[in-house]
Amino acid sequence: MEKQRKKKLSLIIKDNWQLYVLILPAVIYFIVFNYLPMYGIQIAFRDYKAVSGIQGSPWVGLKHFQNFFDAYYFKRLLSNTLLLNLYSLLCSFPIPLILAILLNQIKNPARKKFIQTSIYVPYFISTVVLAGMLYIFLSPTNGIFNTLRQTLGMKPVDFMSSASAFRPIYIISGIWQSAGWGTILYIASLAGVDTSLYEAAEIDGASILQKIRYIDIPSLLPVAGMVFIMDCGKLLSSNTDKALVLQTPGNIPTSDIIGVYVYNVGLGSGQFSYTAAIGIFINIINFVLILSVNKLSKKVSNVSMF
Amino acid sequence: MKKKFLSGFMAVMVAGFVLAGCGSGGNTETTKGAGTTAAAEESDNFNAEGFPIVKEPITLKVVLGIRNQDSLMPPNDMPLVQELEKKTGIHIEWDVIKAADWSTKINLMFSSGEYPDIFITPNTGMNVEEYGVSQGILLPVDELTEKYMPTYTERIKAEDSDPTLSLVASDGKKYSIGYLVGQNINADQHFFINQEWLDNLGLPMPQTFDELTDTLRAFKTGDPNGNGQPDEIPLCITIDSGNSCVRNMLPMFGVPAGGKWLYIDEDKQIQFAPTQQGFRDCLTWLHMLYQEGVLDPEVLSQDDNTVNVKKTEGNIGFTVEWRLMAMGWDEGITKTHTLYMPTAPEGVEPQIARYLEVAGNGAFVTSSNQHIPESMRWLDNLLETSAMFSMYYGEEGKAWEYDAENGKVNTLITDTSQLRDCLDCNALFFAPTKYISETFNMSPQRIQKTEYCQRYDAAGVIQKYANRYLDMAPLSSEQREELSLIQTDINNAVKESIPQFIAEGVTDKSWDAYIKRFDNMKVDKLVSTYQEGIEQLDID
Amino acid sequence: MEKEVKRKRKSSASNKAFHIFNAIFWIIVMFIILYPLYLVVIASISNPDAIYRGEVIWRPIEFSIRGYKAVFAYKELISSYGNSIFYTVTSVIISIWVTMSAGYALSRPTFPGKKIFNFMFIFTMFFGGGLIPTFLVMRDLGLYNTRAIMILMGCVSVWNVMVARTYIQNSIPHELYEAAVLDGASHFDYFFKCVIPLSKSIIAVLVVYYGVSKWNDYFTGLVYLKGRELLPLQTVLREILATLQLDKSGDYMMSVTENAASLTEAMRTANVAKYCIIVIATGPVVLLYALLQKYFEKGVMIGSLKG
Repeated sequence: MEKQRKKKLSLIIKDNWQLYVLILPAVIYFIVFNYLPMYGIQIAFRDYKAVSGIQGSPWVGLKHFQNFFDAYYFKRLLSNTLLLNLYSLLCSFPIPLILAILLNQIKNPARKKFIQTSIYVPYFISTVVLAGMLYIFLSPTNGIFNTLRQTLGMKPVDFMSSASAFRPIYIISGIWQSAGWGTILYIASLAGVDTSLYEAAEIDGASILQKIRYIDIPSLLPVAGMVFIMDCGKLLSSNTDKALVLQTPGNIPTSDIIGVYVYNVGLGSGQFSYTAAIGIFINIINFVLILSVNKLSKKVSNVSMF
Repeated sequence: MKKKFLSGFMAVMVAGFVLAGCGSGGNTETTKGAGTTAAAEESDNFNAEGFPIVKEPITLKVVLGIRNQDSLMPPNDMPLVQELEKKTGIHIEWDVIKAADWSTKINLMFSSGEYPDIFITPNTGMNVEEYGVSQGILLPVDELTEKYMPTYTERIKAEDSDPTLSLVASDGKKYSIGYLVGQNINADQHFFINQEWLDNLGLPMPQTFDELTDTLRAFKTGDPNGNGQPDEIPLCITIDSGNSCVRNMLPMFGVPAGGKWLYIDEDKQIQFAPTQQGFRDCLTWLHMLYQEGVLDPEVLSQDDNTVNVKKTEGNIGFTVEWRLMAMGWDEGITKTHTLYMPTAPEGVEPQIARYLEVAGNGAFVTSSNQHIPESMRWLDNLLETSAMFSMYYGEEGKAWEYDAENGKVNTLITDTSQLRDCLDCNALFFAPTKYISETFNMSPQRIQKTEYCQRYDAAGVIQKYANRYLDMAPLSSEQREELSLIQTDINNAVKESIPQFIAEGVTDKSWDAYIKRFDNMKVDKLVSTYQEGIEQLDID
Repeated sequence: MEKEVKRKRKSSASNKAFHIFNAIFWIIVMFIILYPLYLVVIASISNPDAIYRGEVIWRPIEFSIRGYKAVFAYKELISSYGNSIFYTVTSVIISIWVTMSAGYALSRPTFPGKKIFNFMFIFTMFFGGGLIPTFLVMRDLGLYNTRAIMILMGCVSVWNVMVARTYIQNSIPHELYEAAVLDGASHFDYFFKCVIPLSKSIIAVLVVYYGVSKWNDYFTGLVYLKGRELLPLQTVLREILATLQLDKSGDYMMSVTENAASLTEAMRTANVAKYCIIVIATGPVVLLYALLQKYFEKGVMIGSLKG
């Protein structure tokens, strides 16, 4: 029995050694940059003191986690973060797909190239500038939206300080920022589709919509599915920079997300271990989420990450 | 097979945790127990008197924290710094860090065990309790200043009261050299009203609270700027950004709240501002004004940047601020506004927050410093009058000069917005009240501010005990950490309640719900901890 | 015959409708995307107060180049630009090589240990030691304050490996592999001679992803560099933006400068500079993408199948 298994192992290596060589650089990278530092996870379970080092700091177990759960706003932080990301995901996921598919149908190559080159540039507008522009557009006194409202006889609304307006503003501006960027991957996928498929469909008299439904969408499905599953692994993370610039005292009930809380705590005093514990909590939940969605996806379709 | 692989993998991971942890992590150069005595050894290279400070040149590492808006040339390129090096014989390796990156970089420094010889931190924070008292990275300086810093010590002794009392940590020792820009002031914020508009409408200066309210209303309806548009902003403030914020309106209602939302009342008792009657009254008043359009409709979302632009334009009737001159509003409210004597509603006395002129943390020496006597003498030299003013303002003769008549310092420089060739207000500057009035011809804006303070003081509207004492309370590191979590929750609750009250008003129901929130936030703990703390101080 | 003609007419009518809809759609979308970008450009040469008042809508108001002046006053600007280009190009080359190799290996259906590698990679997306332990490890490895760490940090991303893997799995037909094996090809042969040439689209995507990520990164330089000569562009530019950060630490103590007017001036300049920064920093990226355009066109696959 032993001999058989041993033989199998050496055969495995012999047959596949090239694959191991190919994957080696990535493995080395992750060991050096991710696994070597991983002992630092302990910080969340200790009262970290810089001078004592990580090992020398006293062990406190789950104290920091408990403090976080006891924070007055814990429930709200959790729900704000989750809802914000969930709505964002559901609203913004289909858009790059639609854009890529429609872009693919443009016949004029010059126009197509122009659109392709400019569609993702909003991605480079820094959050600070985006927020600046939003404040100007949405200003109750001379912002363009409110001027329109006034001409229609409605009272101006201070959108930036409205708790109920926060999520739509966040999500819609997010779509503006990153939908174009998201099309890059899908355009590349569509470019790889065998043109003979389109020719065959043309001969069969398929309309454009039919071509989209039977060729484009199925070829995008694996990539799109993977993107969706990966995004589910970020449902409890926070785009802290963006939330901070968009947060005003008026919209705190919805804009107070975990990342902002961590930022404010960090300003007060060191609180290293506390913020580390919060980080681990977020990551555990994210991890569980992505595993579940992956499993579900495996069952429902063939798309999965692992 | 798969299961075995996976469990094996997990085992390797766990082992990795444990093993790797034994290796690195933490610093390699801790000098344990170095924080207790200041028995700095004097080397042969050291000159106890005169210049240069050392026989053979040495190099010291200095970390300098600067404000976000400062743009300085590299310090070793500055002519003043070069002269300093020639004079003292000490070469400096500067590490200049902006406030925005300060906490990240400091944390990395302390964790990796590599700290500089000296920290200069007038404008950035340092956790003295943690890094000085608890961990011994920062050294106590009481004996060192006595021995090696004559300029500093003399200057302190010349004052009526010790301005460095604020530097005493929970173990009774001082860990930093003080930073103090004396301005002869005792009040934080002042109220200002648009005199030009009063004149245009033929209205007198409001003498009572109700008159103030009516005057603000008149500003709204009477078109005081005479352009035929109802575009005046009678009351312009923000929720919590900058000096013109809701918190600084509270003193008019008898609540001189500080940054922690606490204040010390006349009986030396700590009060929690957000639940006071005055707080409620202020917000009720603001709500009324908001509804009438007398309070800036953008109040709920605007920040200090926006309000600054408005002040520059000058279309404002009333605000609260630090001072009027030399703030960039010369064509705006600087021209039109004048000091307003605060008036409170019936039965309440206005209580402006008191400003205490005491030192902040200016410079630290660390436990890895091998040249402590030299460092102390170097720091002392920075405080020598002409060096100090040069580091702060710029070159003598160009940025400042000695007045021909009274021999005091006059500032010449006006525009400091370009790349600076000095350290600006990030330099080590120690100028307590008496010293500065003897050495410095106060610029007009400072004289004006002093005048405001004197007028408020004479009217008896300034609180008795400054809130600054709260910062000076000897709390331990653990206490501070615990309180900071409580503080975060409180700040959030207040910050979001204020706009709600302003927009929707205050009802008994909403007020009670609001107060109830604080019961669950351990406000009692906050107040009692600070109460015990200040009782250990001598604040009379 | 009639039925066919009818069908063709029907479909060409619906096609026409589709194209009209598509045209309108894209006109609207392009406006929504381009207008704010246009706004950034004109704001970068306008007076900051006019921007605040919302006056800058269709053209620059009160022309001023103070923002650009402020940015170019940084003597490190040119050198940091060069640094960024160097780091980005080198890093992207390494990234593509490592990512495509790993993606290929993971795409093989019978790769023993594939599940373990997958798990090992994905695990790092969620659990890590954090900034301080990573910093300590880098320091112990002698990577602190080196060009090497600027190039290597973040040069492999799990996300991108998964994207590459998915692409190779789904866009390169398995029959091709079988044919290659019959011809006596090893993994190396197949990978270098067949997969890479057919993956031009996805490589182009990876170049953009890695390139942009490396180009935009300001944090690595902030944490791991000491000398200012090695700083990348974004870390330098960020110092200008730091000016805008208002003190939020509770006790808003008035700055004790003699003349706070200059503080207001500095903030005004920064408020314009933030637009200028985008113009300066984004230029090369747009250029890069325009150059890579041709790899995103249809028909990239044809050659291989016929050959």
